[in-house]
Amino acid sequence: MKYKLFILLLFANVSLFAQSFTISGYISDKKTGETLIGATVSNKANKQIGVSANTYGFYSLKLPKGNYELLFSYIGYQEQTIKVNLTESKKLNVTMNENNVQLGEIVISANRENNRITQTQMGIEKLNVITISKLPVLFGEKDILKTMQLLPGVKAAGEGQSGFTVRGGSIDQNLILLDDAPVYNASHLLGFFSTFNSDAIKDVTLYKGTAPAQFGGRISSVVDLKMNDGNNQGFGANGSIGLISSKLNIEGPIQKGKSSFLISGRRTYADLFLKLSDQFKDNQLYFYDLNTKFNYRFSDKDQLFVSGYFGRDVLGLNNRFAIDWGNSTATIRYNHLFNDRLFLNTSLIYSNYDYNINLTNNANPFSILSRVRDWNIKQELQYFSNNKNEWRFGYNVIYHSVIPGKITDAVSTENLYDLRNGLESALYASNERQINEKIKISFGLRLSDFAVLGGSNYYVLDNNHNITDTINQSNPVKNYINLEPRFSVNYIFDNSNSLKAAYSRNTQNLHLINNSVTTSPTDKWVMNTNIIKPEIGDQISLGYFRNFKDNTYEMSIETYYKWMQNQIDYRDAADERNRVIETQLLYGKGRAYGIEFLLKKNKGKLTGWIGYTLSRTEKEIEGINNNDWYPSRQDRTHDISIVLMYDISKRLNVSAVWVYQTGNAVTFPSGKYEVAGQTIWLYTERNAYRMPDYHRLDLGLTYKFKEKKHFNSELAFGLYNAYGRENAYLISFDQSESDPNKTVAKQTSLFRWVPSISWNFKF
Amino acid sequence: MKKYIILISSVILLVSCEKEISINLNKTNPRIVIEGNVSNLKGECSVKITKTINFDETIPNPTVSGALVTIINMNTNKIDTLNETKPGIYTNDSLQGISGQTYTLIVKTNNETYIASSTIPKMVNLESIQLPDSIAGETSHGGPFGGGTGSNTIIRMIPIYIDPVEVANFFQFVVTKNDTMQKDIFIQSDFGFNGLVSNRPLRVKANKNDIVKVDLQCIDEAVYNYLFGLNENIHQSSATPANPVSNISNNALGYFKAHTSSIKTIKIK
Repeated sequence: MKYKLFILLLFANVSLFAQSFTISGYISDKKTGETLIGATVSNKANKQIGVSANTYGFYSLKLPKGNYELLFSYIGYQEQTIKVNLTESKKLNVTMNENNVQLGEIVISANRENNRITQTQMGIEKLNVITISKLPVLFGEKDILKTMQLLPGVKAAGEGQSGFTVRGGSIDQNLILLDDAPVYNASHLLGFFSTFNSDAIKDVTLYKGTAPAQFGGRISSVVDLKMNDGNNQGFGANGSIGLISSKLNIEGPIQKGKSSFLISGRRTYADLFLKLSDQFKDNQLYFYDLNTKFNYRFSDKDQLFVSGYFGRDVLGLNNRFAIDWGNSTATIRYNHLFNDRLFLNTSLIYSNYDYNINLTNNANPFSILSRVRDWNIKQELQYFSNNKNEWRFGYNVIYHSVIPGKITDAVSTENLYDLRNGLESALYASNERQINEKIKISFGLRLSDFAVLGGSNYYVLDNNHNITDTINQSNPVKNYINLEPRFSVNYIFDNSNSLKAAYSRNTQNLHLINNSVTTSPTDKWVMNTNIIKPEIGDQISLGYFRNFKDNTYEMSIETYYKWMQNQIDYRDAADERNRVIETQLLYGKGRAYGIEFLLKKNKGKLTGWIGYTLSRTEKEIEGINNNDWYPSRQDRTHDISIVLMYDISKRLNVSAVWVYQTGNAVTFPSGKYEVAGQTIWLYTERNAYRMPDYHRLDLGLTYKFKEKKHFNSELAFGLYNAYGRENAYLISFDQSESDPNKTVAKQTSLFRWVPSISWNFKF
Repeated sequence: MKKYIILISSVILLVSCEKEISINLNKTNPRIVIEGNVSNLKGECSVKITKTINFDETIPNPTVSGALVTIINMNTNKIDTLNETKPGIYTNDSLQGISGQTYTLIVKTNNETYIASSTIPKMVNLESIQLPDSIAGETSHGGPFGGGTGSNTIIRMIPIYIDPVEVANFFQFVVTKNDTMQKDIFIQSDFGFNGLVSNRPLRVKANKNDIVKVDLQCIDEAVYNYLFGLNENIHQSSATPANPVSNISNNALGYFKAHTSSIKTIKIK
């Protein structure tokens, strides 16, 4: 009862206004029916009054009785003005035309031209698929996650490495959501491609700093990807044919204007090249993935979305060893509108990541399966209290089950490692409100609980990591409860100047234990146990944002400091295959800090950006590096990206991307000795050395063929690593070939000059 | 995994390339390296003491002479002293280890004392060695599993032994070919194979008519972990490049291994 009263008090301000009405509805693309996430609606006479559409394209604007001209806008679309005589609450669904003149224009971040100034959130980047279509990419495959890695604060883990790091976090500290479903491994082909087919993706939002309270479970960042809904106006297909991969996307209405479907698939055929080579002809190497989505609008108030993803990578060597891995996700979402201001979404989510290793070469062939699986329910109520005040309440319960390794041979199946189950629950509330013309705030609170479920063996270790006791009980072994507050404030000086500050705490209950040299699809996901505690991350950030020349230029400076608790690393000379992984791990704390500069040009023939990050990331773990602070592997002092796109004509454009990064922190030997007749390396400190600096220039050229009535196509050429820099993938130490008593360092590089060509079409 | 990535990059029509580079590596202070062995066979007891050198110096590294080396049987309290028979090499021909007993090595040199303990596990016999490949069979690939040079062929040798029913048994196979000890470190544990007849192969480079001797040694867990780390150090395949964790005190490198031996010899056909 007290709770109800509290809620009532919170909303008490609502009814104090003069008689006012709500105008609400969905905003979508006229041609395809795709809803426009983040499109804005404002009162033309007083642009201060305005709202933007939510992730389902729904908006709700409250105005006093009267006549209005409402302005609907979305970047890349023609603005639309609609006259409304407001004498009662109204439904108004709006469709918008893509702006053909601007089609070639790159949309980098915002939905509104000065969005970066006015939105409360900071450390946020939005990418729209149009943005990435002109940039040169490896193997000619547009890749939204790869483009994201060109923004300050976001760094690729490295050539040939999966994943990316955000503000000094490790690769597992990014929550990657595809239509609300967590994706555990976002890479194909060991990092050369991401799992996201850009044909199927509508919108990506990256939160580098303070993510709203509806997100939780990772301490560094959130990447929120939304799939296209499918064209509900007419059938269409598009695709591309490239040197090593092809893809096809088909979409169309099931009932015009009401429901639609989308199927999008990709397959690489690099393994066809293997067939040409005698040495590799028995090897396999490919991936495929499939995105599907279906949606149905029952009424203006009820809508159902079903979406799914399935992807698989296969690598086989000489018919004696094969490994395949991949994610699958499924999401069912149901939107219900109680009234024009109260929006409910219910999601049921399944997500799965597994890999299978098959050894067929042995006397008795066997396979090893490892799997992470989630069942997830999420419900969220969004309340548009008034134009200046928006509330969200929700909960999320995830049942995680992990099979760390199950071995199967002809006769039996055995779990090599103990099964792990966990229940992660969270309750949250958040509010975004405009205090006055200058100040906007948003705050949220997330209460999270992680129950380490019993039913399998847990261990008690002594100080030397020896097992002293075994726990086996059916009740939860441990509960971890955390309170995670978030807060951000935006002080808007004027339309082109603002200052923002934010604080947030996040916790993380699943951890990827990856080795310090390379990443691999077989890196282990482990959950909290009685020994492994939730990682806790606290971040404060401060940023200044400024737009110039009628929003043609955008500039920002953001700085952050992050404290991380319960960080995990392997102890020295760890055995990754040990039966009890806790015996191989050490725990400590981390810190990351840095400053990010970004200058963007959004309009004109020449567009693009320059980003620079100066940063440091360190760990202090008892038992490593004499208990001193040491750099994390992903610590990179300098990181520069320059991205330029130039429209030579309406049909021809060129682009260039240059990146420069300080090399990763690595451990190299400082001395050597002999044991068992072999040269053994002597190591002194962890991560005390650096890989050579990484830099690379990529060039791209796109030519659009003349548009036909029902058919468009373009040719895209790319040259990766245009000046043939031999970037180090690996540095190893070996006996010298000329004198076996001497030792040398050897560098392996992966690519020089990778040309690509692909033909993209749409009909 | 590193090898697969290099394979992938070389396969997708592009070449990966390897070149020698020069890296400025730090100088290190010399540290002591001890390799100690006690076996259930007579005449196998030896301790080698050397020092580390900088990365750019030339092997062999310097030996340490004049140390006082003793081994104590902790079950019987019998003390044996080892004599320096070659520079840096200390031996005792009469000491014979016994399964189930724990031995402590004490090395005194330069006013420092280094101590290590190791237990000889239960004896496990090497039943036989199987050769599933004929020598004309599996040849070296040069691919990710390659590395064969000259006329040597990589063949599979399967040592057959019965793993004891107790959990946590550890084994090392010392392979000698035509009287030359092979440098490869072959280790197996019963993790995933407990209580079974083991038939996991060793990959050995060999030619027709080579005489190959396989010594199955039962070792304790600390020695297994050391050898595991040693292998990762040599192949630079470790999760965290580091010095293998030694069972010797006082920051010494190396190991002290008390073990059983069961030997079989086979001629390659």
